[in-house]
Formats: sequence, structure tokens, C-alpha cells
Amino acid sequence: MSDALTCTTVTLTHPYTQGDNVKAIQIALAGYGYEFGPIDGIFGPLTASAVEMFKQWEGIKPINATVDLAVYYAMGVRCVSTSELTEQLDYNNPMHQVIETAWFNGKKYWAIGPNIPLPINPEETKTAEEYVIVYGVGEEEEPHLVPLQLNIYDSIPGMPQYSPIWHLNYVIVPQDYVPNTLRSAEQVLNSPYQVIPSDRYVN
Amino acid sequence: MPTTGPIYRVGAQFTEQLNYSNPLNRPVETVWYRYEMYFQLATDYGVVFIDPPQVSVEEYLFRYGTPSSPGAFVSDQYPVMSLIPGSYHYQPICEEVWVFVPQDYRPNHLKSQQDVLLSNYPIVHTGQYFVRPIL
Repeated sequence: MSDALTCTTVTLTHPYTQGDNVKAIQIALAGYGYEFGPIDGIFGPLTASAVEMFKQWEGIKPINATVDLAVYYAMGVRCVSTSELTEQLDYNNPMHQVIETAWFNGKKYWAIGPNIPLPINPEETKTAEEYVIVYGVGEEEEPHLVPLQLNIYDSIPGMPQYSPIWHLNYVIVPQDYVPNTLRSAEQVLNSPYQVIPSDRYVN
Repeated sequence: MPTTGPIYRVGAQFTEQLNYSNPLNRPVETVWYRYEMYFQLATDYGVVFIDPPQVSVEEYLFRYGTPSSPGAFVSDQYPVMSLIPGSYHYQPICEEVWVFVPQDYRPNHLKSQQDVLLSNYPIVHTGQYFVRPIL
């Protein structure tokens, strides 16, 4: 999407790297309590030092000032890796609708949809499968979502099995699961994790 | 008629300053809402509800003929929507509602739900729902 942040790798350079990515990194670091001066979008020595401390605390190696895709994810910075992009999507979202990012076959796609449960008849409505990665599911079927993990679609428009009505399946993963390790329905179905079909359908 | 190419609409006659590159070549069509043009994905994915929404998003489609003898759809008339995103009851699933107009009807004379309801043309709620999100 044109306004999405690209996960460009940044590190301490001369002259200093500047931009929205750096600002997003600084905002994330500040949110974790690291101190490095003003949030100015400039990747200087203090920001670099904060990145090193963050990586040391999180156990991300090598411990240096480089912020790459894994570090962006660990920081919780919402951005898009160019290597993951399939869609060259230009959409300015004039109605300010909710947009969901999801995986399909290892690539990121975007969908418009409020994602609220729909009281549909699944026997008379064509549906597609969506996988939600969770640590567990409560008694009221409330999922304990894995932070930062995107949902996974089994199909996209143009495929025979595609439907904009999604049947939710919960994939139960352990606490040490690394978010976004699973990026396709095939990976989910070939994984050792339990898949629990729900009775929820969303758009 | 739906198109499957990119949609870029900027101008005083449009409410939406819409940029949409349409990378998956989805069918997009123009619709009316309160005299303004909007754009929606014109898919034919049907939805059968167990409990239909109490307030449906209605898409008025214009046909010649009568309810007992439906004719062709009015080719140059854009559909009229009852709700758009941001409205409390909006969802991207709409019910098709047919409006039967005479042969001398001038296409796009009706551009709002209020126009349709005040026109006294016969209206038939089909009870058929389709996923057609406004862009």
C-alpha cells in the first residue's frame, strides 16, 4: 500500500540515516522505555545504542545497531518487507475502512473487511479458509492471539476456492512460537500444531 | 458496467478522491449514494444468512418490465446504494433490490435511495445478498 512503511534495513551510517522508518523505530524504542533523546527520525549514535540494548534484551543476534526485518517484527513496528510484497497495491482508502494484512503463500495481501462474525449458513454460502495463530482458545471461543502474527488465507481472488467470506480456523502454537514463522496454509497444515475449526465466519 | 482496470478518480464531481491500482483485476463499478459517485467491488459472491441483518445495505438495481415480468437491466444506470462505509449499519454485504422503470426512463435520473423511494416505481426486495464492498 502506498502509505505503508517499508521494512528497509537501517543502521548507523555517516551521514546519519533519516526518515519515517527511523521515526517508527524510535517510537517503538521509546515505548519500551529506552532513552535516546528526541524522536526526530535521525538514526544517530544514541538511537543506535538503544537498538543494541533492545537486541541484547530480546536476545536478537548479532547484537549491533542494525535494524532488519526480524528486529522490526520484534519491535512491533508495522511495516512491509519488499521481498514479501506481491501486490503492487496503490489504495488511498478514502473511506477510512479497516484493512487487514494477511499471508497467502508467503506473501502479504490486504483485504477490506470489518472482520466481525456473520450469522451465515455455511452449507449455502461459499467460504474460504482463514487460519488464526493462537496460543489457545477460551471456553467462550475467545482466541488468545499471538502478537504480531498475521492471519493466513488459503486463497486469493482469481482462485476457484476463493471467497470473501472466511471460515476461521484456530492454530494452537506453543508460547515459544516465533510470530510469522507460519505464512501459508500449506505450512499450517504440514505443521505439528493442532488446527481447530471454529464455527465463526467473517468478511 | 464493471471494469477490471485501475481506478483513479479525482475531480469536483466525485466525492471520493480514490486511488486504486486494482492489482488483482477485481471488477469495479460506479454506484450512486446521495447524488455522489462511489466505487464498489462488483462481485457475485452470494451470502445466505441464518439471521439477515435488521438493517440491510440495499443496492437498488434498475430493470425494465414489471415485478411479474422482469425485463432487462437498464444498462447505463449506476446502482444506487442505501449506505456507505462510516454509516452505523454499513457492512460490505448488500441486498439486491430491483426497481422497475418504464422504457422511457432516463438513465441516472435517480441517484439516491430517497429518489428511488419517492419515485413510486415498483420495488422488489430479492432477499439475495452479495459481498460488494465500497472502495
